[in-house]
Amino acid sequence: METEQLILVETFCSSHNIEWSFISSLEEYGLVEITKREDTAYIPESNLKSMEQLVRLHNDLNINVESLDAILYLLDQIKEKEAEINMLKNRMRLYET
Amino acid sequence: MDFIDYYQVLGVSKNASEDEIKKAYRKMARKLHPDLNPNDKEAHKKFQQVNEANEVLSDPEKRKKYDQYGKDWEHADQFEKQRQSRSYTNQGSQSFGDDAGDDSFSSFFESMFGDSGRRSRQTKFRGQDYNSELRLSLLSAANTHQQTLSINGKNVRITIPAGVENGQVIKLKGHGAPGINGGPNGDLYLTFVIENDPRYKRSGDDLHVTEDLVLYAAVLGGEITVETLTGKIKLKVNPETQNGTKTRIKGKGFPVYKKEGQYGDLYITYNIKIPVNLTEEEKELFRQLDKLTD
Repeated sequence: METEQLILVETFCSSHNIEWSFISSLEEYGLVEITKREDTAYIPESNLKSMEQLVRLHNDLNINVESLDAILYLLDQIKEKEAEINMLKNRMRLYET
Repeated sequence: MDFIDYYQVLGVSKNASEDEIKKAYRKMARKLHPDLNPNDKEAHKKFQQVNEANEVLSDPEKRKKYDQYGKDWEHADQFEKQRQSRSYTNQGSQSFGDDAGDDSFSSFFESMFGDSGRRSRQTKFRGQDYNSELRLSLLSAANTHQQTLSINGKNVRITIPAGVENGQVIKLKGHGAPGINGGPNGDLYLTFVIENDPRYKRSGDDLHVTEDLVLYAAVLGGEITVETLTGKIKLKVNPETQNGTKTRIKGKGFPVYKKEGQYGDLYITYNIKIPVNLTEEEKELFRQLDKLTD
């Protein structure tokens, strides 16, 4: 059986100096995934990176949850475009001498 | 160590108010934040400078010292000695994106303020991610092979599957910076840079080559030997083959990434070579052919 690493939401909040309510808002907007086990909330370790990115943007730049949602959407679009550019660049190499 | 004009970095005048500095900092931070510029090393570098400038100019005590000693920063040490062991207290002001880019401060900053000049950072749970490039020749990318990389002073042996694409990124979990307070290590993101090959051009899983063909084989047909990634093969050339004709050899292209035994196709474009340095006899024969076609 595959084991999943989980991090207590309280631990995450105290280590990043953020409020529980911020995590709840992120979950409401579908930006993060919270796992509940016997009434205790956890963050799957696989979500840690994206969670920390959201916390940094919120703390560093005072970005609210609605704007974070828009930023993530735009960052995803940039990633898709970058992948497309990379694919086109590789195709262009066919015509390089 | 070069002098850094922190006012210029933030684009404010020397008599800028705290509010003006804060505003300028926020504006630049929004533009240069590493999370918003994930693959832009220049933005990361500028962000670090902006962070550093804010660290100094937003703190009245540091700003005073900077204004007083900035251009003659070599004297800062004497200044420090006079102040003996007085240390800077943490003001609770925030610094940006600690683990999203290069965290180091400039040597200019260190010489003026030392380690004590840094304000307290938020405790981070997970280590910083690293990005690196790995250059491969096209032929080595066509074979599953192992490479030993030196990461943070440790030798790490990785297996590179055949068929990796130029620009493809793989994640080496746990090979980034160490985690803090027992948190997991960051990851290493490795981008493959596949060098151009003089013979083969790659398009996804397909390979393209140009083969020279002597005029007589092109006109009369025949058989040629073609080098492929997996060895030489014999290929039949149809009579009256035109210059630029393309032929496809199924399954002789590039290996498909992580699909063992699957290969793309090899496309051969014929480049018909017109004979040169003809003898008089050859020329005469061509003249006769020419007459026949009149």
